[in-house]
Amino acid sequence: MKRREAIRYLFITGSAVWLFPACGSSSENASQVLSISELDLVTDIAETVIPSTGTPGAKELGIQHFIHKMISDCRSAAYQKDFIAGLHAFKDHIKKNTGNNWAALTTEDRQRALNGIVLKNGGNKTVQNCVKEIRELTINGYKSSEYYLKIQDYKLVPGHFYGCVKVKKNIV
Amino acid sequence: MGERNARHEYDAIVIGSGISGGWAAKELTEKGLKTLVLERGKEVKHLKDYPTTNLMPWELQHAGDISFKEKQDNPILSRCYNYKEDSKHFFAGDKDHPYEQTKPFDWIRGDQVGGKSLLWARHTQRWSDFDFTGPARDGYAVDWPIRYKDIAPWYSYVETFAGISGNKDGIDSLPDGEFLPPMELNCVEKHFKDHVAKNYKNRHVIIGRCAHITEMKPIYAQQGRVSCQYRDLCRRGCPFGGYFSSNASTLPWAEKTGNLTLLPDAIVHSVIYDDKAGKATGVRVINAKTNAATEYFAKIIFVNASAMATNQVLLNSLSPRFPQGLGNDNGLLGKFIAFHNFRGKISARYNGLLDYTTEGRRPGSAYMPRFRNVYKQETDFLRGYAVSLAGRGVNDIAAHWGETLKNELARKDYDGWSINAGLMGETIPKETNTVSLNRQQNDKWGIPLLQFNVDYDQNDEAMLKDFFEQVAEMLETGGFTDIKTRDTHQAPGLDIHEMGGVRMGNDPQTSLLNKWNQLHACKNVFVTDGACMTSTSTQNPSLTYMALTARAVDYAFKELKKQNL
Repeated sequence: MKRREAIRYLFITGSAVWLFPACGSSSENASQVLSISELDLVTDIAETVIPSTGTPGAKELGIQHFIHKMISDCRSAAYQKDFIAGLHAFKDHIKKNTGNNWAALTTEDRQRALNGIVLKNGGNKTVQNCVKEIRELTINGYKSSEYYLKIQDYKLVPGHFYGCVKVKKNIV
Repeated sequence: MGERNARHEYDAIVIGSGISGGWAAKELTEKGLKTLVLERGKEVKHLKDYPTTNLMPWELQHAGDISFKEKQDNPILSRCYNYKEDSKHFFAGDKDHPYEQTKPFDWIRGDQVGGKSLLWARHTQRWSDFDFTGPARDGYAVDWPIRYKDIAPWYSYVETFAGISGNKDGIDSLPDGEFLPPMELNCVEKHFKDHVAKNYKNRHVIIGRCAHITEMKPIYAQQGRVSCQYRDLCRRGCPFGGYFSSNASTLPWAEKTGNLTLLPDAIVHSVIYDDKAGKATGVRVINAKTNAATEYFAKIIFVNASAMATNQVLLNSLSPRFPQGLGNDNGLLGKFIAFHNFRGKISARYNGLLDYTTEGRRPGSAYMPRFRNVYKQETDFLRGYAVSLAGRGVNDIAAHWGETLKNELARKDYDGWSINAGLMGETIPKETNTVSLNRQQNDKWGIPLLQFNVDYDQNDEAMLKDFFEQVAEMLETGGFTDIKTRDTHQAPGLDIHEMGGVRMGNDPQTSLLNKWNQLHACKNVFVTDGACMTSTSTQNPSLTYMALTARAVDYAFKELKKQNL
C-alpha cells in the first residue's frame, strides 16, 4: 500500500464499520441456503479474490454475507444446488490439481489455483461456475461497499458531467 | 364546485397521467377547465414517493438486482433494462396485469401517477418532414394529416417548458429545437463522431437531445425543478426534478391552477357514449382496490392511457352506435400496430485515448439519426433506423487477483474503451399487426384482456442485417476492434415504443383520428398518446406525443368555446 492511500484509508476508517449491500439483513438466516462450513469456504475464496492487504479485504468487509444473500435470494433452486455441489467438489479439485490441501496453500498458491479454474476452462464445470460466481460477486460486492466507494470518492450527486477529462495518474 | 363534484361532472376528463396525460392536464387546467385526471395506478407524489431516490449503492439489498422470486412472478418485466431493485415499485406486475399473446409481445407498463414518465429514457428527438411524408412517399399506412410546419411551434412550446438539452446540429432529418446546453460526448464517442463526419456523407453522430435541465431558467424554478445533477439514477424518480416527468412538472403545475382533480387507483373501463346526444358523455371507472364502479362526466375526453391501453379502452367502449368500439366505424381500431425494432446490438473496443476519462454520470447517450433512404430509396428495405451509441472506459481485470486486482479496481484510467450501438428501426404498420379484446377472459376488474398479435416482418430482418453491416463497417474503419454483433431476438414491445391502433389520417374510411387527434366519428374524444401514431419513424416518440397533446388541447378548447363539441 502506497503512503497516500494509507493516509486516506486512515482518514476514512474513523468509524471502521463498513456497510455493504445486503448487510442490513444478514440476520435473516432462515432463508439463506449455505451451511456454516459452506459459507466459511465462500468466505475463504472471496478473501482470496480480494484479500486484506493493509486495506480491508472481502472478509473484513463482510462480502461473504452479500454473496450468501445473492445466492439465496437471486438464484433458482437448481442453480443453488449446483453452486453448493461446486463448493463440495472444490477442495477435491484443488487437491487433485495442486497436490495440496486448500488449507495448506499460501495466498499466492490459492490465487494461482483459482486463476487456473477460472481462466483455463478445463476440469470440472460445476467447480468452475461456482468459483466464477464467487469471484464476480466478490468484485461486485466490493465495488458496491461503502469502504470502496468512499476510497474512490463516489458521489451520489456528482453535480456535473465532463466527457473528456485528462486522467490524473493513479495514487496506488 | 362541491355540488358539481357530487354529480361527478367536470369540463374535461383525461384518462392517464403519464407523459401525454400530464400534458393534457396542464393545458386543460391552464385554460380554466375543471379537469379530472384518472390514473389506474397508485399515487406517486414528486419527492415524497421516491422511496429509493437517495439510497447509496451499499444500501441496496441485492446491489440493484431483482430477486429470483420477483423474476419468476414477473417474467416479462424482468426482460426490461430498467426493472431493477431500486425502480421495481414503478412497474405494473405481470401477475396482476395479465394480457394475451397470440405472438410474443413484451408489454411494459408503469403503475402509478406519472406512468412511464418516471421510467423513460428521456431522449427527445424531433420528427421532420422526411418522417411525416414517409407513408405517402413510400406507399405504406396512410398519409399523415399533418406536416412538420403544423407541429413545429408545438415542439417549441413543449420543449421550452419541459427543458430539453441538445446541440443545434443543423441536420435536415432531425430539426433543431429550443435547446438548453448539450451534454458532452465522451472521448470515444467524439472520436467516432469525427471519423463519421470525415468519411461518410450525410451521416451524423450527435449527443442525443434529452429532457434534462442543463441550465436554470425561471420557468424551471417556477416548477420547483433544478438542473440535472448527473446522478444517472433517473429511474428512482429525481429529487431535483432534473429530468422531465409528469410528477415533477406538468401535474404539480396543473394542480396549482386549482382546476385539477387527480384520482389514482381509477381504472377506466370504457368511455360512455350517448346515442341521443351523439357524443361521449363520460367514463366508467372501476376502483382498483374495491372494484366499485363509478361514472364521471365531462364535455371532452382525452384518452392518454398509454398506446395499447388506449386501444383497450376504446375497444371496450361499446354502444348501439359503436358496437365494435368507440369511433370504430371502419373496423380499423386496434390495427396497424407498430413499434421500433431494437433487436440489433453491436459492441466494439477502442484501444486508444488512454489518457482520458470521464467525470460524473451522464444520463443519456449519443445518437445517429436515420441515414438510410432519407433523400431517396437506396436499399431493398423501406425506411431506416437510428442508432443509439454509448461509449465507456473499460479495464481488463480478468487475469488479476488479490492485491493487483484491488489496485486495478482503484484505477481511474482505462485500458481502453468500449462502444455499444443499438438499433432503433422504423417498423412498417401493417393491418395484420393487431391488438384486440378477448371477451371471454376478464382481468380482476372485469375488463376483457388485451390480446396481442404483433410480429416482425421481412423488412425488419433486412434492416437488421443492414444495421449490422453499416455500423460494423463504420466502427471498423474508425479503428475499433473486437466488433461483435448480436441479435437479441427480443419480442416486439420491449422497445417500449409501441404505437398505433387509433391512427391519424385525413380519411375517416382509413383512419380513426383527424388532424387534431379527434375521433372522426366522436368529436369530443381526443387521443394523443402513442395510439394515434400513423407511422413510427425512428425517433424516440414521447416528445411528439407531448407536442400533439398541447396542440390538440388548444384546438379542443377553441372548439369548446365555439360550442362545437
